[in-house]
Amino acid sequence: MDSSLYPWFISQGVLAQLPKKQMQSTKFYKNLIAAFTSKGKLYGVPKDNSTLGLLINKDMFKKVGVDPKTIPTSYAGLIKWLPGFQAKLNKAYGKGKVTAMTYDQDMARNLAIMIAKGGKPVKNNGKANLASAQVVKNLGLYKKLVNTGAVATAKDLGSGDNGTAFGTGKVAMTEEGNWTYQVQKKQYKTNFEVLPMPTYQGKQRGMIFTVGWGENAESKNKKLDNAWIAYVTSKKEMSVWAKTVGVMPSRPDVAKAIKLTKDSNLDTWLKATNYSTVWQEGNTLTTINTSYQNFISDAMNVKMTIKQAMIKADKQANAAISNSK
Amino acid sequence: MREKSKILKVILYIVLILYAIITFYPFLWALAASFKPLKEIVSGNPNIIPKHATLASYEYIFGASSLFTRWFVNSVIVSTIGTVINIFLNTMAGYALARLDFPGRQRIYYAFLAFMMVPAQILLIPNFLILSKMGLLDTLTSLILPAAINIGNIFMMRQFFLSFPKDIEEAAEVDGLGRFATFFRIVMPLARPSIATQAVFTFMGFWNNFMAPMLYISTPSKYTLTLGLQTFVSQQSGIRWDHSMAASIISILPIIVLYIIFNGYFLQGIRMDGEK
Amino acid sequence: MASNLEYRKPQKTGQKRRNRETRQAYLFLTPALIIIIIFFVAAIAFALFMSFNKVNMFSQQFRFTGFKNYLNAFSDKVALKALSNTALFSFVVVPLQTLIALVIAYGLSSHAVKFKKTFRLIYFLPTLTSSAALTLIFMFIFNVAGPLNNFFMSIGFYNKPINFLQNPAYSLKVIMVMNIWSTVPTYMTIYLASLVDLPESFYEAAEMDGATSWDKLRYITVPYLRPITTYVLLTGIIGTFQMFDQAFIFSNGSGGPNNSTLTLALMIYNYAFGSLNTMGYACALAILLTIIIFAVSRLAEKINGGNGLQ
Repeated sequence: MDSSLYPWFISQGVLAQLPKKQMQSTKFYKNLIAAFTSKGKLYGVPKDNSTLGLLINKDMFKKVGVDPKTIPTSYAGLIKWLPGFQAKLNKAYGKGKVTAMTYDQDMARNLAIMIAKGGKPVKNNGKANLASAQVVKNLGLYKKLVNTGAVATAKDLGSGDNGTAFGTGKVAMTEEGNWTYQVQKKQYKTNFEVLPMPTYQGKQRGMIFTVGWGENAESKNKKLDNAWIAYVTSKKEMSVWAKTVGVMPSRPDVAKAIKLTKDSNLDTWLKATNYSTVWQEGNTLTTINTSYQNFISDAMNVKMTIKQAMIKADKQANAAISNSK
Repeated sequence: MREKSKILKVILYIVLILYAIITFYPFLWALAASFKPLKEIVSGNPNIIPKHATLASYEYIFGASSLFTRWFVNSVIVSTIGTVINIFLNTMAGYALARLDFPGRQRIYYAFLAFMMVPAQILLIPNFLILSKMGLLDTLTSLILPAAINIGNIFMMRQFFLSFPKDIEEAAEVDGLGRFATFFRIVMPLARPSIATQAVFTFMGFWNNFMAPMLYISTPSKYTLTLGLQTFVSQQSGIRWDHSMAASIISILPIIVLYIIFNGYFLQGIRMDGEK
Repeated sequence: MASNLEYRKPQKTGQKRRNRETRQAYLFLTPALIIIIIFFVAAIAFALFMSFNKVNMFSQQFRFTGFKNYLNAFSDKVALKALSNTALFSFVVVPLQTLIALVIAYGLSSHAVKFKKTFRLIYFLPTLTSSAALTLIFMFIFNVAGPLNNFFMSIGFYNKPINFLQNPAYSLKVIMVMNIWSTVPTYMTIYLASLVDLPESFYEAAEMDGATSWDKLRYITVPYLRPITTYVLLTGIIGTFQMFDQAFIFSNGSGGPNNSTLTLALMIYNYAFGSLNTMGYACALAILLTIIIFAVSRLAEKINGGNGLQ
């Protein structure tokens, strides 16, 4: 089950409690275990881990003569720095050929920023609260990025996703997850480096995506199920799995054992697990995100203010939610 | 007069060829894309000829699962049996609705139409429950039985039979042929163009069906080709366009072959009296 | 309900013949009826039942709520927006796809045309091109720096590229183009299958009277194809009112930007398979959609001149 669906499964009461000790819950990244824990009880075991990092195209930086070390580490710094960098890209590649950076219009990517400084996009009762003051203020970050003229979505550039835009040389920097690692290396042969996520309001913020094993509350053979989950998430089995499939493990000891930490790029992604937010927020998140995606582009394309767009998004999401009551 | 018809002919060809380009280009691009590396596909290049032609995607797909042949055979079985049953049942029902006069005909016709209008998404779950009550889940039969008829095709056959020449049936009746003999020996063979059309569409429907196998089939050895291909094209995060292009080309090849076979039938009219 | 067959029958044996014909008709229909009763009537009855309940699919719980789902649907402004998108979509797409299919089929059926089989095969190909490939191609054609923008700017239509994919004013139109492009071949094939049976002598007679190609199309082909046109119009209406996959792929399921690509079928899908327990509401919307489609279809049938029975 996906971390974002976990609260829904819990609300339906369909998950069985799992023995923490047998599952070696202390061996996992804390953030990940917390995502499958309710009221101190464990209901799921994370089987993998994906985080975001800032990918930069080293060849492009070389060509325009910018040292990657000079890239600001905060969004505030980036907003000042990006226009100059875009100008250099235009000079080297021609106007409109390479964009400096891409961003996303998806709550699954934006949530970490939205919740900064106590932002609360979802109320405790599950209702959407996207238009609340702090959330709107936080979303203003994206508008500032867009206004630099150096930031666009991958779709704006005619690509399906950030990884594609980055791999095909349409963008010099992008926030993307470790799943793009193999494809960038083998298919696109991009010469890239992964930097930690920029800081916003003094802190690094990113997202974590994970899938966990759960057990049906009505399972006839809980002992066997527990043994199975413990087995597939054990250090040995996860090492084999993570190595063959090429995903990041949910246990730091596995990451060490298969030497992921030795690769500086993968290590950056692994470290992001500690500062990032798990993609999870109550059991109405899918509905709210659908509504968010529906209206956010208008806010970014200067048709309306963020506040206006989010008021519309709230209204539509909450109407859908009350239909389920 | 001659001059004028010549100009008309030229215009006709221009229109037909223009339209052919509009329809052919995307297909050709997709075909060519299956021989391109990923980077070339997604870089937004309108060229047809691959810069770095490769068979890597095909190798990946054929090598990805030992069950590939099995899936292909499953698809052939389901599509062939399903199509044959459909041809008979739809044609019979369409014929009855168009050509036979019986009480309740209008009511049945409108009921059929109404059923066709119910959004299919809403019927998936009830059908899942019905099939599970019948003990048919996870069998190839579950893919054939609910689709053993197609209301759209019944409707199409009815419309075809409405403009089907009556004199042929009347002649058969005079010759002393019964209704069933007339239907199977005279009407069906003569309805070849519309049956061929129906056959290709039905076959395609079975062959490309994705939702039903995904919901009803759980054992990998019983997967159809579409479902099987989908499982390993979407395995990784992010769409691997190179693999999915190759997969789609592989899955449409049988339909193209079928179409070429039937292409001749499409043009055979009912009337054999030298009007062609 | 009197049909042409009836008055030809000898009066004496009329009743007997009628009985026999009724028996035969039901024999022809029985296999289809069995399937329909199990997989349509029963399934629709179940959907109807769900539309009066609050349904939790996961735990299979049903709670009767009367007409609540329907009342909610009538006051749902989003559903109204979805309906207007869907209706506009249908209103533009159906006439265009029917007209293009008819004209191309008419042109191709002309005896003057050579390489018919090749043309037919080429025209058929769009139905085979995978929707994933189509999405990729269309996203490429319509993107900000894509060929369509370049073309329009080079001929001086406008000088700032249009963001077709993200601008609510254009996104539905892009889907319309995609849809027409991919449905015309199906209908053209069906028209052609019927046109091969149109007796050439009809045309010859008309030519002797000095009819032009236009006259022949207008006075012979179109009336002859009327039953098939009924089929094309009705399935076109049903197809467009139930349009789902292109809108889904295009907007990632959100129906955005700003609800511009939200269709009723997409909305039904989101309510039925989203994470909320709203299967009952989805069913109510589906039933209402069915009624709307039925009404629109009857209207189209009337405009096209009856269904060939009356």
